[in-house]
Amino acid sequence: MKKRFLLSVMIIGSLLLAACSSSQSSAGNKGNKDYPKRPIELVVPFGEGSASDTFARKYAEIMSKDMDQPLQPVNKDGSGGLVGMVYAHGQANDGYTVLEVTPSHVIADVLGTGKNMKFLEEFEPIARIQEDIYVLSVPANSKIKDFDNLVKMGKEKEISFAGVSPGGLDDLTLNALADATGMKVKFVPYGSGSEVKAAVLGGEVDVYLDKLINTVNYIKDGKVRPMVVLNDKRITQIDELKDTPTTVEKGYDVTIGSWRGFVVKKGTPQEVKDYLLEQVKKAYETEEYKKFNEDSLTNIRDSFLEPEEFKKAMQEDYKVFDKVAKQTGLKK
Amino acid sequence: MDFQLLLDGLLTTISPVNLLLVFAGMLIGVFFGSLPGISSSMGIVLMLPFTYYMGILPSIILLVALYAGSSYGGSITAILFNTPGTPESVATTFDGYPMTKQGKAGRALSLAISASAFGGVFSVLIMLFLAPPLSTIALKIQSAEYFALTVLGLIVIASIGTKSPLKAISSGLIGIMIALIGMDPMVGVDRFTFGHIELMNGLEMIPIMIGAFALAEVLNQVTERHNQINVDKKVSLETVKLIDMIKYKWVLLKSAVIGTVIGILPGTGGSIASIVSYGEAIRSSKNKERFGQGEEEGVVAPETANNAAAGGAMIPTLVLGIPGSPTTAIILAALALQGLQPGPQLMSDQPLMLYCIFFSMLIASVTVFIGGRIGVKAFAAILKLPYSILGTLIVLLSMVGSYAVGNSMFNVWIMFLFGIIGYFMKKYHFSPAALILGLVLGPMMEENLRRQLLVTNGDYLSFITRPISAVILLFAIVALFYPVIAKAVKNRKNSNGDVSSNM
Amino acid sequence: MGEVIFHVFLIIVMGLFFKDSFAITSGRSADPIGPAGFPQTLLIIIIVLLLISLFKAIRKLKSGEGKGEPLNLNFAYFGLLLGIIVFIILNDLISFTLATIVFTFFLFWMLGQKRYVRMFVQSILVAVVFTLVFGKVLSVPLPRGMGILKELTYFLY
Repeated sequence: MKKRFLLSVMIIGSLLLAACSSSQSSAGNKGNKDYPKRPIELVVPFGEGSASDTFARKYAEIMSKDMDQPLQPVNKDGSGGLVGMVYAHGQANDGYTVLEVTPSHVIADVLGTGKNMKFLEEFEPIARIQEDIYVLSVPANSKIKDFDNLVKMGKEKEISFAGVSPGGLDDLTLNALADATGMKVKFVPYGSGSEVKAAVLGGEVDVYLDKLINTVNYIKDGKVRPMVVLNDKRITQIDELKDTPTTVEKGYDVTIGSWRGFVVKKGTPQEVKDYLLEQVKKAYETEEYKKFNEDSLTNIRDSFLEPEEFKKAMQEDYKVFDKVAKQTGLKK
Repeated sequence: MDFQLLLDGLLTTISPVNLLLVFAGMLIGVFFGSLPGISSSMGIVLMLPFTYYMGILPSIILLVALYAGSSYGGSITAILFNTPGTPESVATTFDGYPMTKQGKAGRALSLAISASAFGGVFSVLIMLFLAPPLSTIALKIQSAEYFALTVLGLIVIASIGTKSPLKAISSGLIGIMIALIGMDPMVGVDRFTFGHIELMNGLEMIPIMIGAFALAEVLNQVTERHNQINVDKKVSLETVKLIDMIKYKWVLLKSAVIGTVIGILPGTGGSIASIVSYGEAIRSSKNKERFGQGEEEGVVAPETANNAAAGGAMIPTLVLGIPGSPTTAIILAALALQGLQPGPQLMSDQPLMLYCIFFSMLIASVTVFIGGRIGVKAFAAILKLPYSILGTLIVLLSMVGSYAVGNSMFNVWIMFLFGIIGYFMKKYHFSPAALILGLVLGPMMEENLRRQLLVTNGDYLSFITRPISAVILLFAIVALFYPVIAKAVKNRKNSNGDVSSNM
Repeated sequence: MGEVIFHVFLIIVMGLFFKDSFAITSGRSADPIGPAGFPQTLLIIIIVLLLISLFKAIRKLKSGEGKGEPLNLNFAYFGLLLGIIVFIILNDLISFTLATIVFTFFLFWMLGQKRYVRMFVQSILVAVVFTLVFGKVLSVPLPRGMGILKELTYFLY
């Protein structure tokens, strides 16, 4: 009796093992390159369902279609992207760990929140892929008429605006704009994007700063009115924003937006980086990605940057954030 | 309300493939919900790759059924092992597990199912008929009201763990304190991180919860009596007759309303809904001292509320494009992956969607009810395993579940630490339950208090000049002093009685 | 006695938090309460409450009724805690699956099972099921251990 039990368990066990191993090996029959031999981990340093997560999952899915081994997204959420970064830094620099990055990581460098770990020094860029544009708007029933009116009012009294994470991108972006225009602003932080929206629609704050995609839907529904787009060129692709001025038009050079890209740990072999860049590029050219990019309204700026340019762009961002952070007292 | 669309929605949802998706989603939801550390949000993320190929309506049908199922699944492990599978089911452990210890696991589970089903059905009906006006009202709830709500929730602490209110309150406040570790919500500076990056994001609630409840209970069992450490061996598989539920009609109704309303508010969710309705159940009960000792209303109230919250959370998600809970945020993200843009235009762009969601959640709730009643016996039978196996499985589940929360060993250490703390807390009559309540409500309390003051430039009076906030705070004060008042009234009556008898 | 010690422990921990609360930088000013205000108020209340509770516990101890039920921190208690520590460490050394086999076997033995062959088989079964359910079905990135074991785990999850 006992023996039979033992035997059946072993059979089941070995069957399970066989089933798993065969499903793994069937994927990797194209070519015999050294890399990648096993799935590559894509560290998503934000929570499930966030915009960065959605992007990373979609992109990983598209990239994996053309790769011997899949790119597997893994969420390591926390501390504005730092937890994921620390995790990725703790892995070997063999190219099996790719990190998704956003301006939050540059900001962490500026504010020194990563303690001894400097993002810009410890990681090497693969490519910047997507870029978002910010729009400033007000609730539909607000007294503020247009951007000039807003600036005028802002000089007289403090304008409150909602955003997520104090000292984060929302905070720094609006402060940069406030600094350029001479407005006085008060940042009111909320726990999540949905609480920000509820606060705006409920009228707890004066202005609303959010990404294009989120704002456009509320404009369409008549819930908010756009004031200004943080961009250099007019956005003619979207009807609702045709008549909205841009910051550069108004004479303020503040065009900070959010972006998303991939990096690997310093010291990753050049062949590996080349391979990843090539795959990223291929995925970028697919119809599927173009459709996704169009749907999420991230196709307005030409966002793709190769490693060298990406690095330069991040260094530029660093300077901008550094300046704003010092002015607002976030950095001493 | 469009009857043609209602009919179309029904027909779409009960087409064979979609109906199968409802059942599948429900089952997967129950499964994910019952595993500690695996949240319904994670379940939905895992389902994403499948939804890519399904089209919008089938995907949403699958995902909302999963959502509806998961809020029930959490209660299974909460009742059987004192291991809340999801934060929403913490309050279910307060009376559910004592019932199991008394050998009434079957009854507790079937109460939970019936209550869940009622909450689920109630909230989707509200969603169908009252979604637009309710979401407008929801926008009136701002920082001041959220603060008032957390105060109301925290009052519960004083009423649970009645053996020593002093220790219960201390436990609750310590819970709030632990929740404050990490980045400050208003200015973003470090607090109590002692220089560790892992602590910057604060401690995760789920590992603490699993530690303080599940691991602490295992420790308790192994020290209590070696070998013969099982809960009452005679596990009764007796279930509840439907007719019995009528006894709880007021608790059911109140909890369903509380659950739906709290579910609508973004940034809150099932966990707060279940705590508030548990508190309300205690307040209105005649047998307050029986709560925490296996009182049936103590299972009914939180389970109704957390399922109602799931339906409630769909309301602002659909009407305003503002997710009412983290899980609905991920459902929206799933729709975005299919090229559908979430926002207030969702209902006009996809008129059929509301009805499909309605029917999917309705059918899921009803099948949870029917299937669950059959499944109860199977679940409760797990308790017949010898404790050497059961205990091992609980410990393993606790550890893997804690790890899965952030995919990090750090969380397992946290679970371990709070297992030990939880054990001693219970031994010395502190209240782990109050600790968790503080943990859930604390950060919301501080954040909204400070935000209201920031927005109003330091106007403390604004909490009572805003009508909704004032009403909630009034409720809180009444709830706080109710026991005292009730006692005074009772004493007076008694003494009057004595006097009259003496005469 | 234990109750008094636990109180003292909690008070010390809260005291440490209180001490650390002075290290909180105020950053830029935002709201009137500030980042340190709320926790400090809270900590003062907690410490006062705990002191009252401690006082009560000591009085109970002196009056002799504080015996209560003895703690009975037995072999199983410490065995379990030690087992968990070893398990956590083993995870990063020899992969989740192997660590789970060892840990499960240990727990079975400690909780009183005697039939070693059956325990061994059951341990393997539990480990494989957990690995497959969490690692494969739920795609939780379980620890893979080091060296050759790390490579091997890719066949399983």
